[in-house]
Amino acid sequence: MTSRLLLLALLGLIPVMLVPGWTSALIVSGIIVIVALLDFFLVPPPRLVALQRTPGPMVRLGDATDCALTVVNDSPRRLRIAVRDAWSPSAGAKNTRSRFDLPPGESTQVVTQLLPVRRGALHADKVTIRSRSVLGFIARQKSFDVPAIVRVLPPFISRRELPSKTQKLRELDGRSAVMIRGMGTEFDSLRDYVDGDDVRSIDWRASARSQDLVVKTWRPERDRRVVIVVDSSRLAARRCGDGTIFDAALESALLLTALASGAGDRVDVVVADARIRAIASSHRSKDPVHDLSVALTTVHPELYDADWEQISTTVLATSRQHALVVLVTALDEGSVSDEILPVLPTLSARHRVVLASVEDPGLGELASKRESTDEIFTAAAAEAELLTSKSLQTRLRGAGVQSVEAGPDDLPGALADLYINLKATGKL
Amino acid sequence: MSALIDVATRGTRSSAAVPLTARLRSAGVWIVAAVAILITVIATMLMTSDRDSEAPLHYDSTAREGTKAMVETLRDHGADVTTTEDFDTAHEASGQPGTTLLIPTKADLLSQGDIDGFRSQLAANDNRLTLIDPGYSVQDFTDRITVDDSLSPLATPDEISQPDCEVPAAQAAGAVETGDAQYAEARKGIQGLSTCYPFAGPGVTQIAGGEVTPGSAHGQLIVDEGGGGKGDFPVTVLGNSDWVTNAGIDEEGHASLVLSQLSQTDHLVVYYPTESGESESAPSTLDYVPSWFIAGALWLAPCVLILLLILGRRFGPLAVERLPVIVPAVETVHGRAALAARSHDRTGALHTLRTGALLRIAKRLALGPEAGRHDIIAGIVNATGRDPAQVESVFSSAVPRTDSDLANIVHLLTLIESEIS
Repeated sequence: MTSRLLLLALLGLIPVMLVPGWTSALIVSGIIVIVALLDFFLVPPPRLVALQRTPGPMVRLGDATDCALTVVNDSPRRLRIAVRDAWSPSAGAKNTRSRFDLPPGESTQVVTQLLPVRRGALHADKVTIRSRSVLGFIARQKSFDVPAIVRVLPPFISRRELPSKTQKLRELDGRSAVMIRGMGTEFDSLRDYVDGDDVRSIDWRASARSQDLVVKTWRPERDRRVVIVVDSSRLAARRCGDGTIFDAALESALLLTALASGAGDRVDVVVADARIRAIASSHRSKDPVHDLSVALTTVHPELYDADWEQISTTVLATSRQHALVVLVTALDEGSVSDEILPVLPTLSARHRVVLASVEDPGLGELASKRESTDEIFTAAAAEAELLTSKSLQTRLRGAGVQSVEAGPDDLPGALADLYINLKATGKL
Repeated sequence: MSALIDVATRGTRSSAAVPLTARLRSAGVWIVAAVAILITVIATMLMTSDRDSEAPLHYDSTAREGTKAMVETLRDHGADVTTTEDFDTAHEASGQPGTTLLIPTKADLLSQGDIDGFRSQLAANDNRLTLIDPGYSVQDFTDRITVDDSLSPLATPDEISQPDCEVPAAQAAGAVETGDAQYAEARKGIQGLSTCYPFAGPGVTQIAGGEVTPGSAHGQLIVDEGGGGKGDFPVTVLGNSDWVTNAGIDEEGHASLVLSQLSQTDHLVVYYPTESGESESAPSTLDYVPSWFIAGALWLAPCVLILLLILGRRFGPLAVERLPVIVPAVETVHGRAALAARSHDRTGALHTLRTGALLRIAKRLALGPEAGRHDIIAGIVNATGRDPAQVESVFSSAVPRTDSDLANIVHLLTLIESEIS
C-alpha cells in the first residue's frame, strides 16, 4: 500500500458523499479493492533485482568509509524500486534509503557513507527492496542477505604521542648532539669532533691516524625482543571512560609497537584469555602497527578467566632470547596472586617482566567524594580497592617485576616512558 | 589504502526464501491472539444471548421459568408458531387470518397505542388473544374481563382447582394447580363468557366493596368468545403462569388445557414484550445530521486504516547490532559499600580511609616506607600546626559510634589532608 492508494480512497469520498448509502459505499470500495488487486499483480516482484555489495577500505575508528551497493536489473521488466541498505547502528550509516527507476538490463550503484562508532568487523545487515508498478497503488517488498564486512581498526589515538617519544629515543642515538654513553649503548661510528662534543668520547687512536680530532658515536642497542601480552579476559571487559579497559590496553600495545619497532627492536604481540586470540609480529613486516591493528580488529574481550600458564608457555615459545615481556592486564588481587605470581618465576628467569594495568578513573573520583554517610562508605570501598592495587604493586616489585598503573589515556605514554627508560639503562 | 580492499568479502545476494514454517512461527503470536479474540467475542455473544432467554416465560428459555417446552410441543403438533420480541413483527403476524396472539407476560409494558394496534388488528380478522396472568392490564385489552377483587382476605383456596364449568377443554383437562389470582367478568351477566377453575376451599366467599360485585362469574380461566359487537374478539385469560412453564406444564392437566387453548387456530404468534422499544426513543442528534455527512465520516474509517497500514509498514527488519561484552567497572565497589553500610562497619571504613590518607601524606611529606603511624602524625602536626591531640584523635584514636560521628571525623580527615600540599 502506498500513499497513492490513500489518495484513491480519499477520492472515493466524493461519490460516497454524493450518493450516501451502503450500496454506493460497497461499489466504491469494491472498485478500490479490484484496482489494488490488479496493481498487486502488475508489480514486478522484488526478487528480480540482482544485488552486490562492495565494502570500502578498512579504516581506523573515527574515520569515514563507505560501501557500494550495486543494483542490477536482469529482468525484461522496468523496475521502480526503493532500496534500503541496512547496516547495524554502530556502522553509522547515513542515508540508507534511495529510489531507482531501472530499465531492463540497466544497473546502478549507490554508495552508503559509513562513520563507524565501534572497532571490529562490522557486518552489513539486509538489503530491502520495495517494488511498485506504473500505477503505484501497491508496493511489494522483500529483504535479502547481501553479506559484506567493513573492518574498523582500533583508533590509535596515542599516535600523537609517538613523535615526542621517538624524539626521546633519538636522544639516545648517535645522530643527536647529546650523547649518552654507558650501559645499553653500542659503538656506532667515528666522526669529526665539533664544538660541544664530550671530550671523553674522543677516540685518540683514530685522531692520531687522521690528523684531526675524531669522536666515537654511540647508539642504543638494537634488535632486542619485546613481547607484549594483552589480557582479553573478563577483567578487560570493564567499562572505562568511553570504551573498555581492553581498548586502553590495545592503545598501549600499539604505541609500544610503533616505538619499539621504530627503534629497531622486534615486537611480538599476544592477545589471550582462556585461549590465544591473536598473535602478531613486527618481524619482516613493513608496517607493524597496521598489521597489528588488523590482527586485533576482531578481538573483543570475553567473559573467561585468563589461562596464565598457557600464556607463559606461548611467551617462552615466542622468544628464546632475552626479551622485555609486558603483561597488560588488571591489577586484580585474585588473578594476580593466584594466577600470575605462580608463573612469574618461569618468565622472569629468562626475560625481564613488566606489568602494565589500566587504572579506573572512576575509583579516584568515588574515593574523593565524602559528603554523606553513603558516600563515605563508598569512598572507603574505593580506597580499599586503591590500597589493594598499591600493595599488589609492592608485592610484584618484591618479585622483581616492575609495574605501571595509569588511567586509560595516560597508560600508553607511561608504558612508552618505561620502555625508553629501560632501553637507556640497557636493561632490555 | 584502496589497495587493501578485501575483494573476497564482496558479497552478492544469497537466498532470501523464508520457509513457511518460520513465517508461521513468527506470525504465531498474532494468529493465536486473533483466535483468542474471536473465541472471546463468540463466547460473549453466546453468553449475552443466553442471559436474554433466561427471562421468565420467555419462549427461548430452557430454565424452569421458561416456556420453550410449550412452544416446541406446539410446533411438534404441527402448529405454525411465530416467536418475536419485536412489536412490528408481532403486529403484522397477528393480522394473518386464523391466528392466536399469545402475550405470556409483561403486558403492562405495552403502551395504549400498541394495545389499540393489536386490538384493531385482531378484531379485523377475528383472531384470538391469549393472556397469561395479565393482572390489571387485562382491562386495556378488553372491557369485559377484570381482576376479581371480591375474594375474602381470609380465604385459603385448595391447592388443586376443579374445572367446574362447561368449557370442553377444561373438562377434558381436569384439575389444575391453583394460582394466586382470579379473574371475573367486568359486569354481571356478560354473554359469551365462560369462567372455569374458581377458587374453592375453606373461607372462600365473595365480599362486596370491590369493583366486582359479588355473584359475578369468576375463575382462573376465562374464555370470552366475544360479544359479537364491532371491535370485539375472542380473549382467553389463563390465570396461572405455572400452567405454561417448563417446570409446570407436565403437572396435572396443564398441558392438555394450555395446548388445547392455544391450538384452536392454525397460527400462533408468541409476542414477548421488551422494555427497550426503539420506536419510543427520542430522536437523537444523529437524526439531525445530514446523511451525506455520516457517509463521508464513515468512509474516513477505511481511509484511516489504509493510512495506518502505510505508516506502519516497516522498510525491512530492524538492523541487528552484535554487542561486545562490557562489564560495569565500579559495580563491586558499590556492592561492597552497600554491604559495609548495612552492617554499620564504621570502624572498618574509617580505618581504610585513614590508611589511604596516611600513605598519601607520607608520600607528600617525603617520609620513607620505614616511617610509622606516629611519625606521620608528628609530621602532620609539624606541617599544619594543628593541635596534636586532635590530629592523633582523627588519624588514630577516635572511634565512630554513630554515622554522624563517622562523617565528622572523615570531613576533618579530608580537611587536614587537603591542608598538606
